[in-house]
Amino acid sequence: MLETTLYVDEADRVDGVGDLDRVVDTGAQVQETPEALLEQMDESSGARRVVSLAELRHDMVYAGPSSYPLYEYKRTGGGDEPVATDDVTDRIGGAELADRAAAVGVDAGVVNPTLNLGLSEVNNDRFAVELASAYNDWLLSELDDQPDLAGNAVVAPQHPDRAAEEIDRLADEDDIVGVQLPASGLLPPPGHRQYAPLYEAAETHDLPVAMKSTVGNKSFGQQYWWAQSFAEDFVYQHAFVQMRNLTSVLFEGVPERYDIEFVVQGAGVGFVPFLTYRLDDHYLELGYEIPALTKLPSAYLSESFYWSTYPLVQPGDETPYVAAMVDTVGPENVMFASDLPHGVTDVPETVVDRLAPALDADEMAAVMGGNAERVYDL
Amino acid sequence: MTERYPVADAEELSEDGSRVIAEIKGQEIAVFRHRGEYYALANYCVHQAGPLCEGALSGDIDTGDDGWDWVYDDEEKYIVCPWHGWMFDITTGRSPKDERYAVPTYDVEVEDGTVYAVR
Repeated sequence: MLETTLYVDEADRVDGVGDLDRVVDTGAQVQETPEALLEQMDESSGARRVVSLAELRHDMVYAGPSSYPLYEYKRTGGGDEPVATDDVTDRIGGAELADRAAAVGVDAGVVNPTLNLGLSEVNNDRFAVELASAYNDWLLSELDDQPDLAGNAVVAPQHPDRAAEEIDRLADEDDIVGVQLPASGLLPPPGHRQYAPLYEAAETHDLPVAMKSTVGNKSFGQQYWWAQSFAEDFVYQHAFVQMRNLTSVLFEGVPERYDIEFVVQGAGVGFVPFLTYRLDDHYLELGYEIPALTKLPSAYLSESFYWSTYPLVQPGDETPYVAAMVDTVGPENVMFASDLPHGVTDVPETVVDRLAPALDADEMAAVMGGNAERVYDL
Repeated sequence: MTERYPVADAEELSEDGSRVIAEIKGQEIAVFRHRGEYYALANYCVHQAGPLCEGALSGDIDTGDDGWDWVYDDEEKYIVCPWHGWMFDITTGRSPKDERYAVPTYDVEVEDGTVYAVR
């Protein structure tokens, strides 16, 4: 039954990624290093001094005490050599990322940070603010010669007034097309009133707010602390982080108060139908606790929330379940994301092939580029 | 062709907030009195088929003018399903949260001390 209701006529599908005019990647990342950030900080900066004392170990700057230091995992092919050709400690700037994106058929992209996806977990507010600014300055320098790449400016949620100032500072830059509010470890959660200045600034400058999750730090609640391996943590973190954050954003009425588009990154689309209908169901059951909304949560999600394709998480048989999921969520609300340059990447060819059975050519063009161009005004 | 069916003596609905649940040809219909008027709804929740009209009557909470405070409107015109808490406005049959969710309503007539539901 799924198949008969799901498939579109073959004549209406794309044959492959070659049929698309343009592929826009909303989920690639440059890879900043503590050294790169230090270069952007003033000599007189106290944060610069303290970060430099941390022996430039990224896990000492960004992560709290952890059973596994951030990104200290290595995938090997059975020998001593890691499968991935580079490590998170390597700097990957705009030129390198542009080359890798072009090599897999990406025409343009909106990039995110790597280390700074853990920014919400930096305990010291002053460092967090300074790390954000240092990253943004580094990003701008990296994007200078990259006509096909733009970026989200990262902001420190620890200090929403400073986050707003950072948005004001960068909003007129051609290469800044959105705001990145790092999703993991975000406390209080993003529906809290303390973020009002941040959202006001994003709304004022008509910038979408992206929220990308990461993994390997102290991201999701107490249960994380009992993860006995990186793998045990990695499996569930992203979707749980996003569900918790989005429930806060919705039930506290953020999309009712602000005209902002949200781009939810890092958890794919698989969790979205579950979350959507659970939000609606509980709004109808417990709506007296949720007076901030004037319509069903699903209506806000449909109007102004966008979901990244990465990670696709395709089951092992031929039935296009992921395509069904995209169809359920709405192709007009889904954006292609690769997660480049990391080793576990969804390249455009893979995504198009997986989604082709259930999307017509217009829907596919929207998912693979049109939605991103519209939301980010590329 | 609608018909009217006696569901209660008016004396049984003499107070605002009172209700009767009657069975009409196998269907349960509740009649409420609210602010001197009568309103009839199917005793059936469109969520999961619960006995909606056996639940409590309640007001609703909204945000105040400042967008921050929660304000309780104590006009108890919402029937709250005892199974999962979905609520419906007894004067319209509709959910206050989304008007697409609604339970059937019926006209009510009163004649010679008898309350009738029209179905």
